[in-house]
Amino acid sequence: MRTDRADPTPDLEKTSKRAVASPSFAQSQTLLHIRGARRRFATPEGGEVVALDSIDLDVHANEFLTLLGPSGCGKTTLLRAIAGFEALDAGSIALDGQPLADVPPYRRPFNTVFQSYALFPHLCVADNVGYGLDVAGVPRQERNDRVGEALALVGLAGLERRRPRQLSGGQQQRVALARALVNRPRLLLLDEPLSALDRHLRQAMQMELKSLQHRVGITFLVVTHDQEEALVMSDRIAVMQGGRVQQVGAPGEIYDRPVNRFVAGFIGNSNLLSARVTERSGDRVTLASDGGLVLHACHHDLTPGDRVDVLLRPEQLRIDDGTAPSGVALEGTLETSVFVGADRHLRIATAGGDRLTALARHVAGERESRLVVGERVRVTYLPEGVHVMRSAAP
Amino acid sequence: MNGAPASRWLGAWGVGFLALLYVPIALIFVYSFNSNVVNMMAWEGFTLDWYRSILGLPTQLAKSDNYVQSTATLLAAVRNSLVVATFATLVSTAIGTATALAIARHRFRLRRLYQGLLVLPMVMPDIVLGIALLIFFVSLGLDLGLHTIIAGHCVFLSSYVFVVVSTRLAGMATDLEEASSDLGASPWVTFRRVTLPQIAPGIAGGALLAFIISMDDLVITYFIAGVDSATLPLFIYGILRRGIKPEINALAMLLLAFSFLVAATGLWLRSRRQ
Repeated sequence: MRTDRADPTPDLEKTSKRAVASPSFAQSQTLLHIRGARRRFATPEGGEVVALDSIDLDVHANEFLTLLGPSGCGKTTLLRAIAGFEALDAGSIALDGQPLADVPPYRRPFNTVFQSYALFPHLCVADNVGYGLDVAGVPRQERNDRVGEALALVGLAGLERRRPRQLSGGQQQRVALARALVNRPRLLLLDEPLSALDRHLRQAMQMELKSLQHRVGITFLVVTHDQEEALVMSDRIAVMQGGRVQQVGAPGEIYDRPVNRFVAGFIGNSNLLSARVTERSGDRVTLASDGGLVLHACHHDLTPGDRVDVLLRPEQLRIDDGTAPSGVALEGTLETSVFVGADRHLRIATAGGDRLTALARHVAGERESRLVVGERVRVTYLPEGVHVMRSAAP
Repeated sequence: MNGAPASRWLGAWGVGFLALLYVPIALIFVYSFNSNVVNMMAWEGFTLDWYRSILGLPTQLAKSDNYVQSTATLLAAVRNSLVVATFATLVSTAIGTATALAIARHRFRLRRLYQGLLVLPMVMPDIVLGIALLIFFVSLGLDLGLHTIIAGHCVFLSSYVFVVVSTRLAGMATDLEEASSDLGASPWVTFRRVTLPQIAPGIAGGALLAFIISMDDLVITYFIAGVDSATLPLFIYGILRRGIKPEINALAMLLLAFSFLVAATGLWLRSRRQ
């Protein structure tokens, strides 16, 4: 990012360091405690929708946390409840241990980047960015300096006098970002910040948001439905569904060790099979899938007869070309072979009717690309690469 | 083959419609400068005497000195109209805008009912509203005068302002107000710095409409005006009953010019904002 002025980050960093050093922070790095948050909405038909169904979540200081889930999972409602735009029916949100229930949005030290950006059309870029400072009564000189710093931080120096409608979508978003960051909030809330941008810009902004968060040292809480975005940007991801947090963890943890079938299916490409434990010795278990496959996995907490969901990531499956017979083998028929650039997605049907997708690195002239649909193939995997989850009660 | 005659008819229809609309006004414009004292529909020559007569200036042609009884009465009527329109516009703009904000931004019990009750005066026959207001004021023991006209006008002008401002509010995204609140602005500051600038053209448009309607209203005003509180439309109606004289053309032209001026000012203000 281009900066014409002296690097403005140290200033912003100072604020957050002060916050970290404050006594209430000494013992815990938790910024926000959310406990038992519930929220229902009445539908026009007279019914009821549960947007938040008892949410427990901690937001740590200086982390990049993403709320990830399909539309209708409650993630935006949770964000709006934190910002103060929605009241909770039950439960609490506390900042540094102080409940926020009676604090109106304009007294919360949070700022939001809205999905629609919500820039004030009657104000120029500088006045949009300076709005929070003007309202707070920051002296003119300091206000102008900080607006300049914030615009430089997002690479928009020189556009101060433009109106929002004279800016591109990407520029508008940067203004929205600067307008929120200039107030040095304790927590920055971003509602689907990248959804309105085209693919290339979106990928560039993912990296930029992450690096921005590192530089300013402000906690970012991002709502998105895009799992790839969440994996790229986040320190931690909270996967939500049906008004509940299904799992919270680092991207790698969520990817490798999802707690249930929903999380496993929502993040990344997955082969998900329903199975039953047939045998266990030590930490090795043998599983029989409903489609008749026999699988080997590592787990030390299951007993024969348990119902489980099995996750086999496509990249854990290798086409056995006879050269390196390692791992356990499966057999099937190649159904489709789809070229997607760096990889080739191979869909394999097993005798029992299970379908597995294997990922093969695309290297010109190698055997996978010569595989013919309908051909018998052998696939191998390592038991350590098989993730087993206890099924939810039927 | 088929299209040509049809579009010819459509064109003729359009011309006919516009003629019906504007020829009478054009005629009055011409008559107001006609020096024919006996028959104003036969052109005799150009004169400004009818305008001079209205303004109380010496004339050669206008013989009936008591037609426009005195310029003082006319000016009193103009003043009454301006006073009524100004106050009624101020009050109804405040009421209409506040109600539009309440209905657009808040969810409360009987919201739909309020909305309906506010629009109702617009469709209520003027004569019904006039009689109802008269009976209401009399039963309260109020003397009729400018104050009753102002109060009566506020009743239906608020509806017009409400409708115009509501339309503008519907086009304004609520996320702007949330963004303002999010940036630390109290509800009042949000209203002043975000909502008001956004809906100002709507408020100005509503106020302008209210002003013109108030200036123009005859039927309702007729019922609730006191003896000495004749407005301009009442005054014109009064002199018309004594026959149509050339002065009336000049008066109509002056009124028309005033209305155009107000409307043009409104349009200009609007275009400047955008």
